[in-house]
Amino acid sequence: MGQTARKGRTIFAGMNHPSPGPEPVADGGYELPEYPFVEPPDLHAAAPRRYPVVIVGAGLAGLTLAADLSQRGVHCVVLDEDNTIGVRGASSRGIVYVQRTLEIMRRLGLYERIRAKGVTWSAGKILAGDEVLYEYDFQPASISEQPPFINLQQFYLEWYLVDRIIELGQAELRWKNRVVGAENHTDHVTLQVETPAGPYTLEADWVIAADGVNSSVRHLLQLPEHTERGHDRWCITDVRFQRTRLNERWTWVEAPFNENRAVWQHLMADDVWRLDFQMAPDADPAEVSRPDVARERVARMLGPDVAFDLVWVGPYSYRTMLMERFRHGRLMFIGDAAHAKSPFGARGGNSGIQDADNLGWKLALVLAGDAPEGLLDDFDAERHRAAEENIRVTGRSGRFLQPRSEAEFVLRRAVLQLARHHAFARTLLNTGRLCVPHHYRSLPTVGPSEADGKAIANIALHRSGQPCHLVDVLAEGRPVAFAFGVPRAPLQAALAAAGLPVRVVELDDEMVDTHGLLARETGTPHGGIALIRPDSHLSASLATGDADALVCAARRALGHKELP
Amino acid sequence: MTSPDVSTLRFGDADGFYEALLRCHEGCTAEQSRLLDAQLVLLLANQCADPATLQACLDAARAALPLSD
Repeated sequence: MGQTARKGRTIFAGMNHPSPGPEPVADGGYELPEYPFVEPPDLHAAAPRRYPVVIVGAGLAGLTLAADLSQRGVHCVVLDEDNTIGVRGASSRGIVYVQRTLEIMRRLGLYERIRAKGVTWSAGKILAGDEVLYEYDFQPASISEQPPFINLQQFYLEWYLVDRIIELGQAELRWKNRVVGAENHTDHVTLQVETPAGPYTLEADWVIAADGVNSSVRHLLQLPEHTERGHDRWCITDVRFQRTRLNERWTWVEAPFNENRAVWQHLMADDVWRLDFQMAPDADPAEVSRPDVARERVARMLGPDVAFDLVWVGPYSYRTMLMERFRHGRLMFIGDAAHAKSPFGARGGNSGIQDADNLGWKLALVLAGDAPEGLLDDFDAERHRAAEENIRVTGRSGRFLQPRSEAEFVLRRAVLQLARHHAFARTLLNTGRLCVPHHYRSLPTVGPSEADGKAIANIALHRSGQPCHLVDVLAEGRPVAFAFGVPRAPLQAALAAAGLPVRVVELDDEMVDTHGLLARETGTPHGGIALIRPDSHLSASLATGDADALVCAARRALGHKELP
Repeated sequence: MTSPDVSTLRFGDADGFYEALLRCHEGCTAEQSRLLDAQLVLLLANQCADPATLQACLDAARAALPLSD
């Protein structure tokens, strides 16, 4: 349907690196790489083979988890029904990657490629016609090594992830492997898989379903979820044209050139602009995506004299979906397979990536026998609440953008009018609240202090006199206890005696909190300890250097439910 | 926790405010008046600021609606 991205060249994954990626083609669209189907050895096995970890779905969440586990030295198999990056049909097309995602990609070793290809930005405007109602800029308040946002076509990020996974050499990517059957057992999961060369069955100690909002695994096992369909219709119309490069996000709530409905304008890589038009609720998707109709829509926006190429046209509506639980024994769900929402605020792809970031270190520690299985219930508790919040927040944006009644429309008009004159009303202009990492405060998985559970930005530190950043210190995979002026040795000894895989780093000794940001962000006083998990979330901020308190906090961080 | 008291008179000059409110609507079409009311609600709510008081006002306004036939 109006899709100009198409299949073409075959990429022989693993034979060259980096592999040839998506290439712009003459008519404005992209040619996506294809990965070869390789006959899995399972096809000829007498009995089903057993694998430690199988990931179903090679989208953003599944690939991030595969790269994360690979970096931790955990072998996994990735099954994908398709043979290309990007997505077929009128499906998700992420463009905005938020700071937390960029920090994760920095840890996974592909941030530099993202930065080089993508469009770094931090500022945006909300407009009414030519009038600016509200301007924002996230950069002044940022303390991370990574910028607030980078825009990039989703298939580029997926391509970089595939390259990184191949480079790490720990995961087996199985293209054209479609899951058609699933059985969930107490200590393993059995999957039936169809391939172009025939069907096979495999067993896995752990299966992570990352197979999208229409998850086959979820459907096959009929696992409970709640779905609410949206009635709002949109049509992405990506175009390439020559204009002054403007790295800003512009949003119209009522665009005069779109029958007073909303429009987004945002630059991506290769000078492609994402134009997203809100359609009438009864708009016919086939009609609005016809190339001549799409061209006319763009011409109304840009004016008759601006030449442009259509890159991709994708009509969509959205739904809200939330599984009751993300963990079902040895089977776990991440990304859109577990929770789906409207695209406002870029909370889909980014939260799926954050699911993978939350799960990777926990699964690796459980597999190594360094943490109890209960740690995976913490993944469920934390990411379920994050999904609830993302659904709540995107739902509010959706309701602002599509008033349900005359009264709601009048209230929105009141906000737009007041925003011209009064600062407070500008904060009510809800065109999407950009994705921020969830604060796990007050969950039993983290400590009781106000800061406990928050994500700590990738701040600058010094290690042995050399500049480094927080993710460098956390990359090793164990939680790190930053001791502020507390001797390291007794703390490390107490943790070792309790059998807890936590590394103690003494500030002002091997590590220097260069700008005092680590103390400030964690709320840790001198003489105290900040326990930070491998996913950069603060597990506990301790006011004193008491070893028993640290052991207690470390047990909680590692999923030990029972008292010592 | 008890709900904030939204019943007790707090106006210094209730009649004066009511008159000013009417004057504010003078010359408006019905549509303009609806917009004016909505703008007023948002301005006043921002002045009030306290979430519990705001919720109590929402509840009280809803409860005071005449029963529909």
